Amino acid sequence: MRYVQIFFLYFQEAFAERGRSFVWFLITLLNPLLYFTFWYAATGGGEQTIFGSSMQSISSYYFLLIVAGSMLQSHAEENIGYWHIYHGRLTNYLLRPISYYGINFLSEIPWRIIQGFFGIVVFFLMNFFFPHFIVLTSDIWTMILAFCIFFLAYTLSYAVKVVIGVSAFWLTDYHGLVEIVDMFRLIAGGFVVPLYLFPDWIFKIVSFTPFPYSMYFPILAWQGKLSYGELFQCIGIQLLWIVGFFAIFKILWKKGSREYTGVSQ
Amino acid sequence: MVITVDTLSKHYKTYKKEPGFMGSLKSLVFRKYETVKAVDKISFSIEEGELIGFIGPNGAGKTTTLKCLSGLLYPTSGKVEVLGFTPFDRKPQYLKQIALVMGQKNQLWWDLPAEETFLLNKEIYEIPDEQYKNTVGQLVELLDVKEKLGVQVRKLSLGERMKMELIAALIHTPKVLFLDEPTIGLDVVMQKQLRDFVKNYNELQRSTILLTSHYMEDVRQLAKRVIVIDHGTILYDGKLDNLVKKFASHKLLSVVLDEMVPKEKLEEVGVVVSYEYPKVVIKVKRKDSNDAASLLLKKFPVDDLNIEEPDIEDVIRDVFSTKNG
Repeated sequence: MRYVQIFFLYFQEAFAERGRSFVWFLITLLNPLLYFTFWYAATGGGEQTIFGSSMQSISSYYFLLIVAGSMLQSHAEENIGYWHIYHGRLTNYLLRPISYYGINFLSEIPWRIIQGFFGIVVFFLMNFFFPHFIVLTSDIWTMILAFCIFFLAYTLSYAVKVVIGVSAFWLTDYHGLVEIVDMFRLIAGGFVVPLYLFPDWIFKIVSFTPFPYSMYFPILAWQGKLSYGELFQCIGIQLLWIVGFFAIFKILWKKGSREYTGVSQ
Repeated sequence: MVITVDTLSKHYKTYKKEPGFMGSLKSLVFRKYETVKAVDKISFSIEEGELIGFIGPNGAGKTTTLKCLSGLLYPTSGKVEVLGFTPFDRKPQYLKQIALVMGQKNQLWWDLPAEETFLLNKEIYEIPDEQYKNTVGQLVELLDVKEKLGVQVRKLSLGERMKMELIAALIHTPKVLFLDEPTIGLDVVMQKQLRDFVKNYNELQRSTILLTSHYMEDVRQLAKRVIVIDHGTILYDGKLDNLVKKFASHKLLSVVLDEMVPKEKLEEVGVVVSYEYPKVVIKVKRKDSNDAASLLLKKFPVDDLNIEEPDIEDVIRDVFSTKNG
């Protein structure tokens, strides 16, 4: 109950800054639209297939990417690294009797919901005006599992970003690390191109990273492209990555919080 | 004892670069580090309900000490115990009994009224509804901010924000309160209001309060006991009144003359600090003050004479300048 109340209080903060949410959403909106336009032109206005994929399949992917990109991608590293550690706001969290990992996790969900809501509105508008461009699963069990995968995808994204954020305890500018990870994330997460368009060997390599499980597979789950077995496998791998990154966080946090000086670093 | 500090040290390693371009190139390969002793082997203890003032110049180690005591910083060595806990373990039972208020840092949500932050703290500290209502009601009344509760924090004045910060920090009625420069940047009226509040709070709740401030008036009005700290070491720990006796090497003879006397003649008695006829202030050695007073009365046309202790602020300034000089 305590965490539910805290969650709703953070919701108020996110509502108060809804304008900021909308601007961030526009960034998430424009990228997939750009890629969609590119593929639309490349397939001769959607007439041809690309590596066996129809325009309908690709467009569904990118429209779902708008929702997933705004809803599932945590930006915790910015709060943790920049505001909390560099600017000393961590002081407020360290001296309160609540889990730092937990409260940051909770406090970001309202932002993801609000930005995701903008994405869902765009998705439904697209579906209304261009119904032949979008395909979603109609199987209820797939939907339920896809919903679980969506939630775990956010949790995984958060787990990765928290680890990047706490690197600010040691790095005088952790933004370089953010950029490097982002490059991998964009490619391996399927932000630029759906991973099924990659050669098999590249696909196998990126499958060993956490990134496809925080974006690519959740989208495929909603498209109905994964069997039940693959859906459960995805959930299992997501859980493993989450536990792994949480363990890394615990180690870094234990060492890093001893480095913290409580002033701008 | 509520707080026990035994040979506490907090040292930092800082990188020292040689000046100029060559210094930058050299630092790519060889880096020199030096250890800064922010706090060095300090020891003291504090009883329940005491209100202690920490005095010291910038960089003396006051804030570092408070941060170590609250659990924010991990000490390099030494032992600290607050309310029976080791602060850096940051156990929830410990954190529920303390609060650290830093004048230059804030915990309030900027775009929402302060009341929402109070509610957040209510949930975090798991305060029952009834207790929350009573505590907030009391604090709001004491600080006179009822009208401002629903106003967005960004629209409050600095003083009003500081009051809200205090309420947010005190919602869980901490047994130990660390106040770091709570009146910094406030005008004199607001400073006095906050001072009065801290005094009342200390008396009402019997909370143990540790206060650092650049304003001597804060310490003079609030603390009976002071800890003077400089370069990370404690110079004095005791009653504020005794501080003057211990460190002031001189006294001031405040004289009202009947007739004009040349300044040179008065300097036979001591150093003339000010001379605005008929008033003269003469600085004499503490041990010679009685003899100097007799001499004045015997040799000069004196209407009135007082032997006074120097101002505490001057004494402290002298202590630090002698030590740093």
